[in-house]
Amino acid sequence: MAGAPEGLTLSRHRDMEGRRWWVQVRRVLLVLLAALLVVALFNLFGQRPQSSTAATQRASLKVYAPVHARSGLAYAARFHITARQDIKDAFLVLDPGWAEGYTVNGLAPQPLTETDRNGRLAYGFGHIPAGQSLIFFMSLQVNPTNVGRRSQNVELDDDETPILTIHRKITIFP
Amino acid sequence: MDIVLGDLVQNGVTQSDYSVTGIILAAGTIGLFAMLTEYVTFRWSRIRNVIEGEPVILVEDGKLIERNMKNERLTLDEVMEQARLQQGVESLDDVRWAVLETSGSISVVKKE
Repeated sequence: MAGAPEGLTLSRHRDMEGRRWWVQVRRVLLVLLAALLVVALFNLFGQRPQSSTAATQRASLKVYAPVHARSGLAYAARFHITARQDIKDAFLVLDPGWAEGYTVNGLAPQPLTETDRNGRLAYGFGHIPAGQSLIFFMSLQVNPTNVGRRSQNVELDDDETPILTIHRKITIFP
Repeated sequence: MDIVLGDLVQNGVTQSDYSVTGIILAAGTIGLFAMLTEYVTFRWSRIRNVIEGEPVILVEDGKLIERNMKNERLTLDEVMEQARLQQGVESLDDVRWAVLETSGSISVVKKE
């Protein structure tokens, strides 16, 4: 029997001498890829929404929105205000992280007022009687350039008096 | 598979950028990396072996190299299909060499 075809050697290309470890490397890479997909299933890269709540004697607020997302994704954030006592002039005051690097596709219901409050977005909803609720939706799309971690704190005010604050951050993957 | 992957990757690379500049930047980046990889693999054989892989002998003188077949997750049917297509051989005994090339294809040399 003649030797291997030209350019090949029996030791390296048949017996895999000096190459056997490559099979292990290949398997490790495959496991790493599988691990990446598994952690993605567990919401590491978004965009499953999570609830954050805060409550005081005057009111409670629940924010339901993702804390991990990827650029280009569209989602709706839900803000649920429940007034335990009368709120004369309810304002949701949002960190700029709710709008910076986003396309805001819509607000529902449309706030009565939209203004700036010391660099934050303030949406006014007027009077919420004790025992009543207000649900506000903000439809957002992450812009492709919006990568990183941003603060998305939410404050509920009665006019300019803070009632409660929810501290949130969002991580946006490229 | 390539078409599906291409479509998926396109969404991530250009996203909603429909500009000619965006196309030039994306295509230029991929082209530059391809040229760089080509040069590096041409210049250094060790890196070439890592990036492009090396051929693997699957059949020698009519005998399957079982361990290599298993490592490459290939079946006898796949080797024989290529043997029939390329050389018109009917039996594994007539195969002198079958080699899994770095391109992913199987080359077959029949016995004289």
